[in-house]
Amino acid sequence: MNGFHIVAGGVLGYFLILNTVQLATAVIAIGSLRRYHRRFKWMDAMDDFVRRGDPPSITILQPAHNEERTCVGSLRSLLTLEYASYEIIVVNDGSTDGTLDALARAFALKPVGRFPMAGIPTAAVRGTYRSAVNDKVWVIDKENGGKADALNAGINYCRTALFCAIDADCLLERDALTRIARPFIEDDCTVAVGGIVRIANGCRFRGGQVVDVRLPDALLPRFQVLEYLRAFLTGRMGWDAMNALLIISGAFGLFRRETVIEAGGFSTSTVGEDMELVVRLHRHCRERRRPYRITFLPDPVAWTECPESYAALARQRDRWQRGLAQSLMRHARMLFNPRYGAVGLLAFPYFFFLEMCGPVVELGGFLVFGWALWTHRLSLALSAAFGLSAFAFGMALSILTVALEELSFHRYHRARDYFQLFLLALIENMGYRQLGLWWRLKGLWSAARGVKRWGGNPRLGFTRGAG
Amino acid sequence: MNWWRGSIGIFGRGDAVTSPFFFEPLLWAVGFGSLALVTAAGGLAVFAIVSRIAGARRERRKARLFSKWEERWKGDRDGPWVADVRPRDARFFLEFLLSYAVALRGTSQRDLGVLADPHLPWVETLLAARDPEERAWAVRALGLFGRGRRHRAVAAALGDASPLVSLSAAFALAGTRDPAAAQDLLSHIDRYESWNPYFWAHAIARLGAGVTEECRRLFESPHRSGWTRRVAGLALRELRDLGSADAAARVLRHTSDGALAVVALRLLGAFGRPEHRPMVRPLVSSERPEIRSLALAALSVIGNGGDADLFEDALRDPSPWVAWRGAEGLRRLRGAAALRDRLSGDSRLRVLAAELDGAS
Repeated sequence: MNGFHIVAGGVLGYFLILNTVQLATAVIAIGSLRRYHRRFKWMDAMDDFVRRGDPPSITILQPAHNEERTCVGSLRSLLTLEYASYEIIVVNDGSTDGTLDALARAFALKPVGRFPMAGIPTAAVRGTYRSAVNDKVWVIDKENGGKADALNAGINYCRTALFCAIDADCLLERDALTRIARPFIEDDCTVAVGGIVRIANGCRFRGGQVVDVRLPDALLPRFQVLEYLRAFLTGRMGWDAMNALLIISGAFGLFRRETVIEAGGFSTSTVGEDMELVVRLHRHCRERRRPYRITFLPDPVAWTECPESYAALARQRDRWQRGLAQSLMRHARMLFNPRYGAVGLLAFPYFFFLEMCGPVVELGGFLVFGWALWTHRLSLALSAAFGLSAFAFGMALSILTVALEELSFHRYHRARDYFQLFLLALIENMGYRQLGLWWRLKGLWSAARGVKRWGGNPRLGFTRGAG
Repeated sequence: MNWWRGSIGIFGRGDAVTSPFFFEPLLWAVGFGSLALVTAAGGLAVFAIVSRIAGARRERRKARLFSKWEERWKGDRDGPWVADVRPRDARFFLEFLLSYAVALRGTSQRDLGVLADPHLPWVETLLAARDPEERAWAVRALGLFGRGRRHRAVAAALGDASPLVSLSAAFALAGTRDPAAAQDLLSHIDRYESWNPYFWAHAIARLGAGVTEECRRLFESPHRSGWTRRVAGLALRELRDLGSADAAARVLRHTSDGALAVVALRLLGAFGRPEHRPMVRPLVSSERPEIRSLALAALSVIGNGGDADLFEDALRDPSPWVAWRGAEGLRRLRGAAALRDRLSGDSRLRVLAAELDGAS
């Protein structure tokens, strides 16, 4: 055994473990989705019962920073949700454009005092406003403090047992709240539920709703459609079935207010505040030996815009990787700690070694295998076999995901879109994944340097009408 | 047998032959494994495509039938056309009726029941199906369209081993206003103990005032679980049962279950009388903010001027909910102007006074 053996063995081990875990989560996800889909047939009965019953009241928290162009449309869309009892708090996080004015004009905002029901520290609140035309709508105007800070301000003013955190560039489907509230009704121990986030680029809209689901026209967002499907339908579904869900997307999650306040609210010192909160909630409940459930549902849908340019996508991926690293390093004591059950023994090590450190190992793999090939220590045929295996595995997982989507939710009605998704599964390994690896590496480097910038995505707006 | 090693061995210069290197068979395994996986994924993809084609055909047929029945139904609500529905289309027909039934109530739903009636004997046979989904579907259809004997079958499904079937039966029974259904549902309610109690309380209250007696009995019964007692208590509140205040006071006297005490306090806050005040006052110093706040809420209704000190103390409580109840109590006792004066020196509480003013 020499150094090469060790490094090559490490890379191969990483490859095997990564693929085995991904395969395992995918297989578990298939079973889980099948069970869920069988139940899905009864959802209309259940949804009807929830609608006619007394579902828990929900406050939707929507942070907005310089969202002048989109905030009014987005809020109007939220007002069309089908749910018996909900309120919306838009938190204007120190916008320097006309966000507050736009909201004030569109919803006839009046300054009305509102007593905060929690005391999570936040940047100063400048005023609270209520709409004179729709009493569901509140706006909190505050100094800029970032997304997590804005959410914390919203939580302070929230008075319902549950709050739903959404991104400013998200559209919720009309029944999204009815569906995402179900786990809180069915299991009183539920503290957080994540819904699926789907990509809206290319879709057609009417009345603030997606009416025709289509693949985006450009290649870059198309790849992201596939990535999102893989992350949600096989990744989160699988981890959820193992009761080890570590991420609820900041774009759409429903939380038990009291538990989040006890845990200290969203962290303002990380750019991955959504993941960090979920990890902290696991820790909080486990350390207090409190029964709890954090779960994911694949059918309450939030539609979001994804970046269409390489620069914007690079910024987003850099931020995601930094958020991942910051969240995991902060709670590193959970690693392989049996006290945290499946989270500490399975999910945390997976995310720590394979998702966080993975880019470094993969880069190391490329370099070592390249060097070994150059120096004839490794045969071309075998390295090609290894490369093809990696390619085949990635492709298989993507094909599996597309097939699962088709069998379960069948959102892409045009056969053309469906076949294009299969085609994307074949070609995403030829450059796109490698690009993703490069962005993740940069993100890791940024995390190591302590970079804190957010790296936003320019809004395109949900403007494409149905034909 | 080693002919291949020279060409695809890990080491290009013969090392692979001599080295006990473990990568090679492993890589072969990975290679074949990946190939197998691609084949499996491809198979699933083909299955998905076939399913899409079959599903699309089924949907087209269903849409055709639905539109035909809709047209006929619009023309003749209870006419002889119903007899033309072929047995093989019975499931589609019942699904057609179900799609209307969830949106309708009362007489309109009964009319749909008449249309469904010829097919219900077939639906009853599905109650014995092995597949829980089939049984759940049958329970749902019978719950919406069945009467009398068939409702008994739905009630019997509450004890089904499958949670899906049991839940389907519970939903079906909760949708009726039948006192017998209430009895059945309440006797099986423990099965849903992980659920949110408010949700089931509302479902039970929807069954009507006929369930009041049973709810009072359950609420006070020390032999039932805390969860069931909470559901019963919350249902009594929704039913606006004035008589439940005495039961709440008795429960409060004997229980050590904090969650049950919360429900009892909610009842006292809604229907309590001044004689219940001594029972509530000590709870203002409970360790649990929720109990402190509800005790204050109850006192602001059933208390008197002697409770002013408690409301004053509550204004300094670390829990904003307790401070809110304290302010509310003071406002009721002394009036809005006095509260405004009292809180004017504290910027945080001034907002509270303004909000209470706005809410009144």
